[in-house]
Amino acid sequence: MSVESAATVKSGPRIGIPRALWYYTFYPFWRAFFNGLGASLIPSSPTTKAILDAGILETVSEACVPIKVFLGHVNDLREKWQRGEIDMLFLPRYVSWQGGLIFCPKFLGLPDMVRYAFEALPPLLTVRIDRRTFMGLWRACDELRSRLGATRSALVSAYRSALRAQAAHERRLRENWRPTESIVGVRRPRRIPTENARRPLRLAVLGYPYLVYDEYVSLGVLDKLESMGVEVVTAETLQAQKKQLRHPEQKDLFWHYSEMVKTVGYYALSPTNGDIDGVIHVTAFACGPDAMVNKLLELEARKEGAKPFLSLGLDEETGEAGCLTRLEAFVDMLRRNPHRVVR
Amino acid sequence: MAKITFPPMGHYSPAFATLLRELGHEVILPNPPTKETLSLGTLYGPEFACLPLKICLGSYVESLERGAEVIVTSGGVGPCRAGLYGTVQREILKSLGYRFEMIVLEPPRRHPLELLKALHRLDAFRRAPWQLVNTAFKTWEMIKALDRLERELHRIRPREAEKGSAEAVYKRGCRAIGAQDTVAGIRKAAEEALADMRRVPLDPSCDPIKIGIVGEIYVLLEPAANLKIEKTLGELGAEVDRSIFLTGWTRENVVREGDNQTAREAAYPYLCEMIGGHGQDTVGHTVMYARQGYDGVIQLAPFTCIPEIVAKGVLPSVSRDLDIPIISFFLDEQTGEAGFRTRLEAFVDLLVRRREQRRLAG
Ligand code: SF4
Ligand code: SF4
Repeated sequence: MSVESAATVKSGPRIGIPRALWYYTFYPFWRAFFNGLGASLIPSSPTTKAILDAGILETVSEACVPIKVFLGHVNDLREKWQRGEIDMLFLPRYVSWQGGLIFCPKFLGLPDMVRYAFEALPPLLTVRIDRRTFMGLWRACDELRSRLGATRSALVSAYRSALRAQAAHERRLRENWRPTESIVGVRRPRRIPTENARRPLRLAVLGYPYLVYDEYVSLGVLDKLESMGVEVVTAETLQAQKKQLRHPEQKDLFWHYSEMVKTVGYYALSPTNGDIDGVIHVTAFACGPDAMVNKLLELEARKEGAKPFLSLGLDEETGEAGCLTRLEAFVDMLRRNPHRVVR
Repeated sequence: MAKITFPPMGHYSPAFATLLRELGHEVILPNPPTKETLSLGTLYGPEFACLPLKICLGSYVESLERGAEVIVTSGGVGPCRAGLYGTVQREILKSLGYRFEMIVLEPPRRHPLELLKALHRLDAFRRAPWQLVNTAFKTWEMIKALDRLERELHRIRPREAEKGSAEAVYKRGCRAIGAQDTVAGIRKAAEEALADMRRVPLDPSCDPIKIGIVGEIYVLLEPAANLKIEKTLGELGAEVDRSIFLTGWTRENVVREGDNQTAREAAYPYLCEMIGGHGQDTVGHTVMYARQGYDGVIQLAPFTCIPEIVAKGVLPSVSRDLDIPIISFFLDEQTGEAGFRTRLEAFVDLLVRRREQRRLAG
């Protein structure tokens, strides 16, 4: 946090950004971009019970937890704005970042949901991000620039440094940094004890970044596993194995994060990869896309020789104790017998 | 020649059966889904899958048990889940040990090659082109006829003097239309059925309130999914207008994919993005119903339905701005008929009282 605020520029508009959903994947891009235009980017506070509760209050009850969390963060920024800490709220409509893939329909409707959920909101800085169109990202950035009243010449360098920041972020994620670490630029040392000189258990923890990396919502699953002496790899890291990731007979999922989790999941489950001992799928209750992703992974995990598989469903009522018990049971089972599926 | 089946689709099943039969297949007509169908789907399907997936999955299991060897279904390119039903259902059914082939018809715009391959698998090209055109034309005519008759049913039912008489005429009409195999025959059967329907004795004192139904296409079209909402409302004395009929939908989505200008335009201030499924239509049609002076709107959606959840998020503003009561139902396998009916009754009561007050006021 301290590094974040030190990196921001003092003058210029202060733009609030919710620490939820696409934050974990794209924050470095927007920080570099807005800084380049002389504005500063201020994230909402990390998720707490109060934030989630506020989100639950403002969201349709049928929505998934991540959306409720997002609205909670919007509410947090709204309060920051009322206290005069920010000037506007950055609320892009993420449609597509990579050719052929779109975001979950809830991302697509998010700005509308937000606009109608709150009475008084800070001025909104919205833009539609669709990279399937010609120069989509550049044009979105240009639109933001003109909204902020910055010059065209500033745009070129801001855009370039944003792309560079994003590339660096993605490289660090592939090297198994957590997004939170990559954002502040400091990697916490990991000390995994080796078990009687054998290599530690290595688990793939797969799920949408806004679930896996949000410590409050995920009940700190990554830290819990590490404290059990497990080495954790996440979907972003495994994506480096791109070449081996294709499943021959499957139609691609068309959602950005789901496609990542599914392909990486197939890879991690397959008997042919030598270095992963088990797979944990972290999924949000009532998440539409995950109903499909989880089923596909579960079916894959039942195939001959597949790696052991645990699906960990989270919602606003999941208890920390229950989650810990399930993780411990899974890890224990793996240590004893590395060939079984747990559901 | 393989034994072929397809997803249950409300009263349209005879039309699809005709189509496949004309292509030379033996058709296993999907049974109208029952509680057992849904239980099968719930048992084998993903827990948080939407209701349509579960109903179709259950129905496939039933049809496979009855000897079906091929399943034809539609695909899609998102943004919503329907495009993935095929993939997921195939994997599930395979894991249950069924041997079958699944043919997924993808929309022509995005996957022209896939569609041609699928049609080839269906032996479509063994027939002369004019025969194909004729078959397609006939199917379309049948769907149109069924839709016209159903619209008329919705208008007559709340006004009928004797409960159930319109429904009986409608059922007879559907059977008559489904039995035809020429375009002329279909038209004639449709005209006769419509004439019969207009002869149903009406209760002159009746002054039904008008309710628009919006929401996700499958639960709107499949009575097994919506617990026969139109029938219930009709019996409660409400005239129902459903925003989606297959004739309207196919025109807008298959032929000119997503180009449904009016509903989209109407949705614009509230929901500015094509969010997949029928989220935008839900909002747009609600706006349109409000402008046309309807008394209320009902939103129907499968539980966990993504676009409809987004739509529900903005509907309260529509309701406030345009002063129209809206109620939303998210349906799943646990939705009970009795509870559903009670809530519908309460809503209808509210609308009747509201209309009375307004009439008194001026
Ligand atoms: S992908 Fe799932 S968790 Fe994410 S926004 Fe969509 S429904 Fe919610
Ligand atoms: S629109 Fe709703 S019911 Fe249809 S696929 Fe999407 S989530 Fe399922």
